[in-house]
Amino acid sequence: MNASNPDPHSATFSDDVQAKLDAHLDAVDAVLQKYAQSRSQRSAIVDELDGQLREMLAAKAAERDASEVALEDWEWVAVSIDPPEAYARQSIDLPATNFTGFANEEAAEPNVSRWSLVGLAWTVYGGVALTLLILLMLSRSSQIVRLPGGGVTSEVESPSRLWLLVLIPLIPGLFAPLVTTAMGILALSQIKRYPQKWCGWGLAVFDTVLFPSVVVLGVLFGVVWSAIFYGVEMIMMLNGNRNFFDDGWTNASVDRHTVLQLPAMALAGVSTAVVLWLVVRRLNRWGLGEPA
Amino acid sequence: MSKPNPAERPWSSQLRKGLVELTVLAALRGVKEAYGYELLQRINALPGFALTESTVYPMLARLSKVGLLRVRVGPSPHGPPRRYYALTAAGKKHLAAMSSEWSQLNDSIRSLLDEPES
Repeated sequence: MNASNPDPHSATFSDDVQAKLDAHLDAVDAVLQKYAQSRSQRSAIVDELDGQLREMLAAKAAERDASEVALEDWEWVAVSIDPPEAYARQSIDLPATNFTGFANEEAAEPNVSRWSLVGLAWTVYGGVALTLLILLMLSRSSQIVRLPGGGVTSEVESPSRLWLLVLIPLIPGLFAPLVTTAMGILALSQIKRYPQKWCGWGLAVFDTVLFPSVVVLGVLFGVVWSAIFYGVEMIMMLNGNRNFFDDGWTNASVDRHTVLQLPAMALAGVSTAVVLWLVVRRLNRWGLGEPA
Repeated sequence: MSKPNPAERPWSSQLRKGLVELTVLAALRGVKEAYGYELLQRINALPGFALTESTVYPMLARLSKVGLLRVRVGPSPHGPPRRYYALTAAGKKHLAAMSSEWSQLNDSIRSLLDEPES
C-alpha cells in the first residue's frame, strides 16, 4: 500500500509552520485530556495526527518543488483537517469496543439527560423558595402593640435572623425560570446529538417550555383583559353609562371584574395551549430530524 | 482529505458512524500492517467513505487498548515514530463475528427492499 509520496528527507519545517503544528497538536491533546482520555491514548492519537500532518505538509511542499514547508502549505492543510473540538465529539460518540458484536453494544441503555434533571430540580427549588418568601412576607404583618400610657400602636415585625439565614440559600431558586429553560435547551441539544447515550426528550421539552409558557399566558391574559376592559368601557360610555365598573354596580351579586376576567383567562389559556402545541410539535420534529 | 457533507442525512451519518469499527478492522484485514494515515487514505479511497482523522485515530487507539490490534513502532521520515497496526488473533475473531452480523443485517434489509411494492 502506498501513501502520498513526497520526498520525505528533503522537506524541512519553518519555525512558523512548526509553531502552528505544535499549537494544533496541543489543542487536540487538551481536548482529549478534557474528555478523560488516558495519557497513552492521547499520545497515540496525537502522534498519529502529527505524522499525518507532517506527511501532508511535505507532500504539499513537494508539489511546489520547495524543500521547506511554508506557511501557505500549513494554511492549505489546516482547512482540510478536523478542528480540535471534533476529537471531543468522537470521544463521546464512539462506544467502547467489546468482543461480542452489535447485540451487546445495543444493550447499553441511554441515561436521562442530566441537564433536564437539573432543570426539573431547579423548578422545584424555585417553587420552594417562592413559597418560603411569601410566608416570610405574610409573617411580617403588623401587630398591635400596647403603649405604656394606655395607647396602642402597630409595628411591622422584622424578619428574624433565622428566617434570613434560611432564605439566603433559597435566592438562587428565584432564577428558576432562566435556569430551567436554559437546562431544557441544553438537554434537547444533548439528546439530539447523542441519542444513543442520552434520553428524556419529554422532560427536556417540559423544562424548555414551562416558564416561557407562563410568560406567554401572562402576556396574552394582559392583552385580552385590557382589550375587554377598555372595550366594555367604551361601549358603556357610548351608551351613556360613564363607567361600567364604578357606577353603583358594586352591590351586584357578581363582581364584574371577575365576570370579565374569566373569558379573558379562557381565551388566553386556549391561545397559550395552541402556541404550546405548535412549539412542542416543532421541537419534536426537530428532534427527529424532520423538516419543521 | 475530503470532509463529511454537512447536508448529509442524519440516518446516513449515524449508519456510517456505527460502522467505523468494522470499517477500520476490515481495512486492516487485507494488509500485513498499516500506519494511521495510510489506513485513513485506504478507507477514503473507497466510494462512499469520508472518514476523518478525528474518527479513525481515537478508534485505532481504542482497538489497540482492548487488544484487537497489535502495534509496532517503526521509524518515520518526519515527526514521531510511526505506529503500524495489525489485527491480532482476537481482532480477526472479532472481525469475523462483526462481518457475519453485518452480512446477516445486510441480507435481511436487502430482502425487505427487494420485496415488490404492494
